[in-house]
Amino acid sequence: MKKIYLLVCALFAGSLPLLAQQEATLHSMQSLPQNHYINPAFTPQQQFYLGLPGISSTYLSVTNSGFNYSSLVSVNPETDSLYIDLIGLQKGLGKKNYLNLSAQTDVLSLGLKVNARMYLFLSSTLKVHNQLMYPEGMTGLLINGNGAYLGETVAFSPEVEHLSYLENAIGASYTVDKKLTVGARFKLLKGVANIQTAQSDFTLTTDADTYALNLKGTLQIQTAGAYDLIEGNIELVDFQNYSYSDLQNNGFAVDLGATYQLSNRLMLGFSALNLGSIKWKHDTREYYLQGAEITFRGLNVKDLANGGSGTAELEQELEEAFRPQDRPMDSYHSGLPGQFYLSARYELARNLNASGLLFAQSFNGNINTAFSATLNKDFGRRIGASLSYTAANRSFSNLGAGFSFRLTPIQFYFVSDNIISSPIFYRSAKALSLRAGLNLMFGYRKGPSKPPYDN
Amino acid sequence: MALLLGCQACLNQKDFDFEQFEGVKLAPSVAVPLLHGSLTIEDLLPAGTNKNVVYDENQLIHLVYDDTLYTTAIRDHFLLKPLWLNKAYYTPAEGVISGGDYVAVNDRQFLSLDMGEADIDEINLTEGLLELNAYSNIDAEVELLVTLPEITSEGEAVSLTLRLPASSSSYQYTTLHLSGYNIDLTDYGAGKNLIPVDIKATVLSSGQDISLGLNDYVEVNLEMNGLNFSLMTGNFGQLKVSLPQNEIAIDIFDQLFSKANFSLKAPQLRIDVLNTNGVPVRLEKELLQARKDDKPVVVETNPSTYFDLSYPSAPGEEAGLSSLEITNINDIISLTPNFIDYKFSGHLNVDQPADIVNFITGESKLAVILHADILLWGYLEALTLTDTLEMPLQSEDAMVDEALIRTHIQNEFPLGADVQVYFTNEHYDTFDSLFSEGPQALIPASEVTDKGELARAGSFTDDIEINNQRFERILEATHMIVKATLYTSRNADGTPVDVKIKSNQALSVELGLKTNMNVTVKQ
Repeated sequence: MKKIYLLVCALFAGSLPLLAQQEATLHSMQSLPQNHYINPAFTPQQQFYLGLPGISSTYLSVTNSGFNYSSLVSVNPETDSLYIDLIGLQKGLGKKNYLNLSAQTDVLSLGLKVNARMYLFLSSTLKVHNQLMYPEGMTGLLINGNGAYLGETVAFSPEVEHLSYLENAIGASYTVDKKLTVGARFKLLKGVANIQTAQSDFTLTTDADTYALNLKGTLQIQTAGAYDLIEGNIELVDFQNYSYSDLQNNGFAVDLGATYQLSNRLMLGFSALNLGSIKWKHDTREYYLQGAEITFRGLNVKDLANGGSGTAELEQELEEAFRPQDRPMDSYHSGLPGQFYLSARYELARNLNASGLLFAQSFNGNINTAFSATLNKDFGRRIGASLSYTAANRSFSNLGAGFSFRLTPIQFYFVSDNIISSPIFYRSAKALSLRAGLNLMFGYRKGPSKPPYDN
Repeated sequence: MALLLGCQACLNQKDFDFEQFEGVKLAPSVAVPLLHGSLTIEDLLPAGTNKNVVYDENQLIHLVYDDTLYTTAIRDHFLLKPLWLNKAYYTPAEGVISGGDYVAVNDRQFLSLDMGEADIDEINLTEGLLELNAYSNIDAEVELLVTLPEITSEGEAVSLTLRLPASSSSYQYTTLHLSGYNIDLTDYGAGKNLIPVDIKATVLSSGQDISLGLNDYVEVNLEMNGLNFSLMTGNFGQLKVSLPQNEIAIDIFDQLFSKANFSLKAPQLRIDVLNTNGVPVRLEKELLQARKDDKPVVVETNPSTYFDLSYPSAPGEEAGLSSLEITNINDIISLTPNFIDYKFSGHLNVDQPADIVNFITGESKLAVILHADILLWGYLEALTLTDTLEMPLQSEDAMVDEALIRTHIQNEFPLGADVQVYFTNEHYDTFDSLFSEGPQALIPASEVTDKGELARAGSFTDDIEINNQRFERILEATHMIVKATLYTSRNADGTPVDVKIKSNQALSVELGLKTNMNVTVKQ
């Protein structure tokens, strides 16, 4: 089984870059035990739940802050045909644009109500985050050409991040009093692979007078567990031969959360997730390019006069100057995508709640924020549903939904922040996320239990 | 499933009708540097790499041209013809001779070289065959010994022996290759150019009496043929050889000067004669003229009518080089001749002591060489160069909407060029040109001082723009004709000035190309 996890991890490692995103709709789904992933102070309604390996909770998220369908595809009014409009695409880009792909799957998860105050959680989750940052300058050069930037120094410094690890967590929520509930989850992390861009600085300057091209580049990429894959020394299928003991990069992280019942109807919540790091010490490698620079002023007339062209020498010079070198490196730490949720839930009526959520994520110095508004309704014990609106990733048309259906003891669910808007507003959609799975649930709480603090 | 169906229902099928997909459209603007750097004549032709281009200490450029107009060999007049000797020796009387061998013949004959007035002393042979055949009808064995005492190899004289058996008709034959033999022709009183041949015939007795008949004889035939030599010494006499009138086609003047108005400040033109014969030769000029088709100009020389050629005094010494200065160079260059007509005669040993010893070797020759040294100092007007090229652009290049060629030129050469590019169809009919305003002074000549030295480099900075309409027209062309009109720097009043073109003057170029493209990548 562990080998399969690693294979999945490796597959994601080779896929498009991505980064973890907010799950605003999941936050509001009180019928799902997985909502404690958002805030460890949340207490499931069931006495006990069990997530079956591989199918209890799988999460996929694709986001692109740079462009969407409408900025990429246009209609030629003369022929009524479609065409890829790269010029329109470029106009919609920001200075930095992120293409993210995240994936998580629970290997095992369970929760148990220990007593009236404490609920215990145990989980093992495989997580993969990939992110590619493509700057406006890079796409601008490709689409507009360097002639659009005469006399300017165009920075085109892409950054790539990859993080995959196995998260083994144990945590609990504890009801302190009738207003305050706190929760914590302690996570032992086993790093699989990491690629992180420590420095990326590429510029192209086109002289406005002579069109001479000056290319500069500095690059530092730290990797762990990825050298053989990068160098093509192994195939993805070789990961099947890996075992748990091969995961020698250890880390630790903690999730903290709290809820506060401000009034009978209003509850505030706060959580801070992924506070920790992984120390990468196995198979570490650094790829670097230190101060590479080349200036092309055209073919040299002396070379031409002597029967040559100089192009071969230029190619060789370019290759030698800009071919990244690699070397072993000492251990290093990589942070996790730290996430912060601040929420307010208001009970409009029995089993009908309205929530507001502020979200922030910090990863490698980049901070992304989001806002969500959610309406949640439980229809008896069996069905729960949520509708959400989220503004994130410079996208303001995310309509999401969550749905759970329980046929004792099995509960099926899906939840997404944009599953409604993406098909309807697919022209402007920039994100698509989905969490789905099956839980085995036992001991549903019938109505409000007697508060433990009244004992 | 319901979710998927719901999603599918939301999609506008037209948004995903990729069968009608036109492709990818983009309009990049690409700017690239094309050329840069500076170039001097010396960069193109480093000193010493081309014998026709020489730089002097002032970096002035000399175009040096040497062409061998005529080559002759004096040895052609001293060839060794075949030599032969035929002699029959009859017995003195009929009778019987007792008492041993009988020497029937002991004679000296001479082979004579036909050398006219020449008195040859020595010949070193490289080729030749000596053939001896003899006949006898004596009824006894005859031993024939033929010796050439003055033909030797390593001190040994040529000596041939034949034995003619007793018979009424006996014939024998032998040969000797003469390569490596020397012939000593020093006159030992016999006369000049004679090779002595000693003939001895002995009738062998074999212990019996020798019986001789009345008509018994021995006949000797000696022949030397195929003779060639590596060295001949002696006094060759005052041979006078009149060379036939001839013409030589030359192209240097046509190549350099026929297409333009020009003036050269200090050209040099002379005729060199290289003499490797060890013979004093007086070359007498009977006709020397430059001719442009039917229009001749007499080549005036110093000396005017004849000159005595230098010569090596001993084999192995350097060849004698004699120069005949041409005094009306500008007249000849102005004519831009394509022929030189000449008729010379050579006279050996004129005004030389009677006992002078001459020599010729196997490689000796007399070469007449036209030598031109054109110093690039002068002026040039309207030298037009044209070249027709196939169009490098293809229809695929139609994606280029506009093109702009940015040009920076700094020219230290006092030589400028007006350039135009014409575009033609397959019949070479011109239908457009690159510069609508006419030829452009893309390469401006530098400014020069009164002495023709560089004062300030010429400069040209401009953008050559080709818009979409013109570009489409150009794409229709199958050929382009590049026409450049070259001229040297001019005074402020426009009159030409003598300029100096130097090896260290540089042409600095920076060319860049900016294109606005309109690209559709079809699926």
